[in-house]
Amino acid sequence: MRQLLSLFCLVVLFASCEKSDDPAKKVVLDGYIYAGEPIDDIRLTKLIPFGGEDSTAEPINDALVFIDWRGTKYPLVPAGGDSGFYKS
Amino acid sequence: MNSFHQEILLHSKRFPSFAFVLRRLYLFTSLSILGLGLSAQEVTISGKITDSETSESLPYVHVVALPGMQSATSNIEGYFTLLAVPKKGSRLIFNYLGYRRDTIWLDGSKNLKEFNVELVNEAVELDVFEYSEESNQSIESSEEISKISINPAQLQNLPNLGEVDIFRSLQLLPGISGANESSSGLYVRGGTPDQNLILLDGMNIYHVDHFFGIFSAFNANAIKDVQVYKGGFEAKYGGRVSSVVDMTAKSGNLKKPAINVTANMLSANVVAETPLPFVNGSFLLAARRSYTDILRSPTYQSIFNNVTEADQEDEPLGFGIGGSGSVEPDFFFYDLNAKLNLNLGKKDVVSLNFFNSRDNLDNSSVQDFGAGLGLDTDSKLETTDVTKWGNTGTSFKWSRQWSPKIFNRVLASYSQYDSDYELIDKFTFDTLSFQFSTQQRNKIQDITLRDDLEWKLSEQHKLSLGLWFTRNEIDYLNFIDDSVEVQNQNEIGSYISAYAQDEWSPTKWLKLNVGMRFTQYDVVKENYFEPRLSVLVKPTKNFRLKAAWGRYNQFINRIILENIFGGSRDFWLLADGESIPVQSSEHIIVGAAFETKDFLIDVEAYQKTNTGLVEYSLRFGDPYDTTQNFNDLFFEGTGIVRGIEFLLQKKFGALTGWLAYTLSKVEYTFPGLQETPFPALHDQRNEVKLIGMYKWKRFAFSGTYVYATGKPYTAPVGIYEITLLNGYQQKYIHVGDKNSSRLPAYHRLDIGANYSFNIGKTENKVGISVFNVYNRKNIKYRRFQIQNFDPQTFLPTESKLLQTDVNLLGIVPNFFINIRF
Repeated sequence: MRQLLSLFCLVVLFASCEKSDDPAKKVVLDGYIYAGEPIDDIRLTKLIPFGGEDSTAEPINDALVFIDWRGTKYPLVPAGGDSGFYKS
Repeated sequence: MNSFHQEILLHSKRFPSFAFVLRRLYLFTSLSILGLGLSAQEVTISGKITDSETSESLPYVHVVALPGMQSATSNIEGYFTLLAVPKKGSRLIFNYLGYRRDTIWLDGSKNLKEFNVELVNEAVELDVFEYSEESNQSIESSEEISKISINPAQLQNLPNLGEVDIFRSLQLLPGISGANESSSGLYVRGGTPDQNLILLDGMNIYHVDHFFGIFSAFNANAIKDVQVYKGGFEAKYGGRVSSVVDMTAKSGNLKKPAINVTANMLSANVVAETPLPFVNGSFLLAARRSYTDILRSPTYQSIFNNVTEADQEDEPLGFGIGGSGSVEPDFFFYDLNAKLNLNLGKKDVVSLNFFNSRDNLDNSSVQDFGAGLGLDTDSKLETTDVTKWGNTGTSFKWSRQWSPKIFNRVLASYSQYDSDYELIDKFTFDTLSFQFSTQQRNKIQDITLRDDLEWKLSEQHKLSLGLWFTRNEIDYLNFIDDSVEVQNQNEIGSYISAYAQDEWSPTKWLKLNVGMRFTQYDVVKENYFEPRLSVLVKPTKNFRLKAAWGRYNQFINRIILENIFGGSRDFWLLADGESIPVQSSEHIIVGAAFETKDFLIDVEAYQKTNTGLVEYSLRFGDPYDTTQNFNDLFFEGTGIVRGIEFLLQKKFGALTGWLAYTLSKVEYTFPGLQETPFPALHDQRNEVKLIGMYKWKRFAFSGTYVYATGKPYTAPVGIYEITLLNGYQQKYIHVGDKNSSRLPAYHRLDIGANYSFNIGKTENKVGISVFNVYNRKNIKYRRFQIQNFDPQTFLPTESKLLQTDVNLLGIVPNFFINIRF
């Protein structure tokens, strides 16, 4: 009976674990790429979570960003400042 | 299992060896083949079991003959047959939930071919200053796996919202969700209400909710017997993949006219029954109607206040402003049961049944932005939100006891469910106004013909054979803004089933139920085989092991319409094998029970593997795009349910009750909606229920406590901004993973007390009941609205999200009086 109870408690313990869907970890990618033109307006921001204080998107300035085209990677670098923009 | 079974088990031996089993099986098989079932001293006993006060037949009465332990269960008309009972020295014990156990000794004087027995209803005969062994039991866990019997008469002792409600009481059982107070539909072991086969005198009932789901549509005063199969059910039932609730309506008093009147703070209920003149028959009429649209009682006001209190006003999330709102629901419901019962001779019973229920809910509201902000502008949102639904059904039943060993029942029934939902949002800003509207209509018609034959071949074998034909016609209309036709479907489909099952008792400690059901469904032109097997092993007098396995199919589906911003609605459609597949389920159940005279400990673990689940979503579609094929918006999925349920029941004494715990996980996989599996909307991991009833002199006290961990929901989790090609900034809502958010835990405490007394020839009972004693604000669902305009200027602004927690009922006191004469 004691073993059964232990097993029962263990099952309850495992049952309480849940995955999280944290909106703060969602990244928004905004920008356009045109053939033959330099890339200078790719922007990364965080999703604005409901329930938070901010009404503007927080930029992401320290991401590793590259464009993958037919197996070749073209890195983008931060445009500077706290803008979240990246350029080629 | 009850005391009756205890007595039987005293005669059973301890768990025998494997060699012993083989010898017994060999001996049994040999005897069966040679047809040596009966000796000269053994007789067949058959008869009918009825209520001593009303002469109503009593179904599912357990009969056992001692010391031989031959046993039987009375059929739907109360007939029973025992084979190979020693003619002298035997005693028959009759046991039925809510009735006094009766023991009859065989002394050779009674007619064994018409062994009619009258059982005494505890509610009638019981001296109120005492309690008896069976007096306080509302439920009885059958020795059959996952089966429970309910005594509607005893349910009056449980706390309630004014009405004794069968389905509400079922929600207090392990494995059946008790946190769905907004619906009296049953979520059984991870199943949904549409997956339950609900039978009322053979009629298929498709929707059981009354009055916000506070009550079920079934008048407990008109119901005689309820059998619940939570899973692993036998081959004679089909067409649903989760559970079976088989209800038998009262047929009426055959001895004298009687009237039972019940009134409470919400509704009135009258049951009138009388024997028929010149013939051996009876008629019963039961009518119940709420008077909430005429008289707003304190109980109604409690519900009303709960709906309109501040915690259900729209609240801004993070940024933005909300308006002040009011919701004034106006509603009424009624239901009607009628039954004409004729006993034609000693072998034939004919009955005609009628059932009708109707609900009308007007949940319209006005949201005044100007007043909410202290401005002098006429800015408001007027919402017309009207829902109507109801059932109508009738059935004709002819039962015949062809011989003590053969019983047959023929049934023809018609059942209809219809619902009509209309929502109009009208925005007004001074002289400007515009509106959005949606309308959904759904109608199901069901014609069913059944023939069920029971044939007691021998003491060890009871064979059941049957045919079942059902024809469904379904209409579904969905309009937006009066002109955009989202869906307009008319479907007709039929299926015919045949089944055979054998209840085989090779030994006293082993019982098998082996069955096969075959179904042909004409819409997809496919055949379905559904094998069923259940095993019961009783190795000791107190201990039993049980297991069941079976396959189940369902050809009609309740479709969940996902509406992220307004709560989900549902409608019924037939399976077509394409956008709406046939549902299938495989049940695997194992369990064990330990029972003493006073207590029952019952544990069952189950797994259900479901395929053919359907969800309908506009998440990836545009409802205003008339060129879109909306059948593409049906998403097919699978589901797996795993759980374990635990029941500890105290059955005897002044204090009775039970503790139930269920741990379960309901996980769906819909690749078209989300790559990864997600919890079903009704996934509730932990649920605890504590039920206590105490009887003292003329008083009966009761309390129920329910705790359940929060249910999942899909929420808009954030907002993001994209620069469009024209340079404009556009905000979009990001919806989180499906059902990835959880509502807070649900819990509530209900208490009740009643007092019985007589005035003259009338038997009376008065009682009070308090629902949700500590006024817990449990959340029904979260509603989200996007506001894109400034309510002052009505000019476009940044998108704001308004969240509304739509709460379930708060504290609701109630009072009832019952007069019986």
